[in-house]
Amino acid sequence: MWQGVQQTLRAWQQQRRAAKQSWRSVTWFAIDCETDGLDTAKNALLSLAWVPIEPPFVRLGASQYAVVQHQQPLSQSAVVHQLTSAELQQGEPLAQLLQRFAKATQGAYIVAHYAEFDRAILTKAMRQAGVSWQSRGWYDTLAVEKKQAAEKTPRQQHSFSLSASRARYGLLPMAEHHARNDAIGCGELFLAQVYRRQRRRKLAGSELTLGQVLRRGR
Amino acid sequence: MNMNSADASLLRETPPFDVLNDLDFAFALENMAAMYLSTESREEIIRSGSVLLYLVRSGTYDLVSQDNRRLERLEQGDLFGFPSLLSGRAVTNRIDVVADGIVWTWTADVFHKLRQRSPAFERYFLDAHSRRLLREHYVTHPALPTEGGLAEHATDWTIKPISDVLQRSAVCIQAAATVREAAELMSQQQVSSLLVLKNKTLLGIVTDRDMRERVVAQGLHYATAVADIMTQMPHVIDCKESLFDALTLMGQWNIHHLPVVDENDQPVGVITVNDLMQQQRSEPVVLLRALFKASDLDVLITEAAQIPEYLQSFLRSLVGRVRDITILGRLISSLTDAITRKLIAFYEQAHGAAPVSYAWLAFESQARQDQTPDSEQANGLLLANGITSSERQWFAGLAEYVCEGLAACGIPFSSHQLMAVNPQWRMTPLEWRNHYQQWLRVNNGETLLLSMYAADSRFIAGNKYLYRQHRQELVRHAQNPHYLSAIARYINTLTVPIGLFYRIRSSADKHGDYLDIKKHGIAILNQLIRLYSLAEGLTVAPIPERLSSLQQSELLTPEEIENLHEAWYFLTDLRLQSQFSQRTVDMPTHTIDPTRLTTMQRRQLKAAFRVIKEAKQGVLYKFGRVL
Repeated sequence: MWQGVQQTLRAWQQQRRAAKQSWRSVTWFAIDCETDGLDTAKNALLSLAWVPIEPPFVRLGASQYAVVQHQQPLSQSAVVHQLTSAELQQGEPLAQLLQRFAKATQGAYIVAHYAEFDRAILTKAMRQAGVSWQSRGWYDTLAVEKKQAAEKTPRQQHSFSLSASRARYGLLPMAEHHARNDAIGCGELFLAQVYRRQRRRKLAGSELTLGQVLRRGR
Repeated sequence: MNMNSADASLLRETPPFDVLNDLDFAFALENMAAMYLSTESREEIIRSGSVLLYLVRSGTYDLVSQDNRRLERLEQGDLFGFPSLLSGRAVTNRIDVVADGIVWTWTADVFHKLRQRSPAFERYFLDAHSRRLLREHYVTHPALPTEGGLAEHATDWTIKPISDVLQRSAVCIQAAATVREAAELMSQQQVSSLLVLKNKTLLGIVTDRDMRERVVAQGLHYATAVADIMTQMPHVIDCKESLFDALTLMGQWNIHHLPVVDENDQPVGVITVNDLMQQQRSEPVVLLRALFKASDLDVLITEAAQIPEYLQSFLRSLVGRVRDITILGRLISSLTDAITRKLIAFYEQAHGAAPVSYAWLAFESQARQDQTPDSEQANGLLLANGITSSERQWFAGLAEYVCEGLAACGIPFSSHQLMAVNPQWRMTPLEWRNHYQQWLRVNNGETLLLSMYAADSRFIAGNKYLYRQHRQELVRHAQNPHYLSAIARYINTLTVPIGLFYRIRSSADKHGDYLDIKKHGIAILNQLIRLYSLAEGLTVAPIPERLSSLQQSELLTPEEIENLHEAWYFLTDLRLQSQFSQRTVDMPTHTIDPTRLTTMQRRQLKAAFRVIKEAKQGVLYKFGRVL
């Protein structure tokens, strides 16, 4: 038991040290999960995309996208994502896809728009497929937008969709509801949020720490 | 392919990625990153020492030189970073972030691999680096007219220079020869006309028909001197002018033989209506014939109303056939010339011949032969010295008739009152000279403009010799260092935009989404080229001919001339295309909508603006300082 406490303590210290380093010195991945519905308990993962971020770069060329193999017809949402049943039948087996994802993103920090949802879907799918995976931490671009709106006076009616959020930073509109586009779009939004924050806090010359960025993105 | 398809297809259409083969393009895609470019991230890149190729997706950035000059505004679709990649030297210019955004980037390693794999890809960057984006392989534009004549590349016969189609050299006879000798020479040489000379000077022309009607039918003796039956002082045309111009003159004066002279007024040949008819029929000819045949003002106005439609169809017929869209400017000017001459003829029919000799002058775009469908009138009258005030009445009437007539034919009145109806533009050479000298003395913006209009003219009708003398004189006056310096300084008060989208809008400019390429581009270019032409004492007005004459000048390097020509051609072409394409109703004339340009056109437009900006600084340096 004493050993266990020591281990936890060491991990905690490690985390504290990590939190003090620059947010740019760790590996980030922007991800997007497409599902056939918004109920994380009921609905299934249709496709998954991930793209590495090495601030200030989103490594577009290294982005990955895969459709999950499904035999039975699915609900309407597949239509929204423009996935045909043929595409779904030819998709990648869930376990194989998740293993590939886990390997690529092991030990990285994950960025998503409405991260809570992606996290729940992924956790469920991982459990289902028997893949073990643990991210270092999460950053939710949507949560940041909500905080931003709350800090602003006067309050404005904001849409927090990915495209509306991007538009607030002057980022170009992109074709939505495709996991790869959304992951890349979310990655760019993440960079815009952090760099703007850095400027607002007059940190010219010194960068935000990982801890500061993660706190903001909770 | 590890990219979303919308971005991939966008990159596929962006020069120079459009020249890569599929394999190399896939390589470019796999190695592409999206960078968030802000002041902070720029610092991070500088600190890391990495050299990258950048393509702007969003945001606005300024390229700034070491001495803090803003060289270029970088906007969506612009490439930067390649000069240091190409030269291997340290980065000297810096990027100022005006608005954060996303830029796509490639590492030096990837850039060099792509260069090695694709020569066309490399060539684009080498050309962009040496500012050659307006060169031939990107824009199909004609080379400068050479000494030999205008537009070597002209494929449409109407703009061919006359010198190109002259069948043979002039067949001439001395004035003292008899009509028998003339007839013998004509049949021996198998020609239908002879030029009559005194020594080397052209005195007249005698034709088959003259022999028939003035000699045989009148029963004259065959020993009669040819000088007695010739047509004296015939209309002539310069060998550098176009077939189209020859046709307008023949139609105008109802003649079938037109003597052709060189720049020293030496006869070089005769062009006949048959020579012209042997060339294929084309729309401008049909249109011109209709204008010539007009028997009165009403018919002329009705025919002129067809011009816009004719121009549209002519332009359509040019697509893919003619590389030089600027011939449209020449065509519109020729039509304006023809209408003007026709109106003058109508007036003379109604009010008798002119009481003294005169010249009708064209200014501005009509003079330069780069008129657009929107161009306003710009004309004036030169009246013989010693004219009486009652004789002036005749010309006041002429001016009113012609200007009203032109307006009725669709060429709007001048908003600057630069018209013969304005007494200020209806003067004797003596009065012109006095005014001119006064303008030169006062030397403020307004009088400078007046003097520049006056200095830039083309003869349309009347007495050509009266005009030439006057023109030579004005040119001599203009070669005054103080005057040239004033123009150079005036030009430097005009603004050239550095960006296309994110520009500072003046409060008066409610059409801020559009870019006025006349005001901010073509007009400044015209001023610059006019300044050099004045300095060199040139009397030709069209820009291509001016630039070609300026090749002899020590004031400009061949490269500077080439750059000016390319910029002029590009902007003129863009303006004409925009004027003939679908426009929104509230879009002011001479403006373009930058969002409707292709990526390459935007880069070229910026390259053209940069040429103008540099030329502006150049004239300030060359002419601006006078003690």
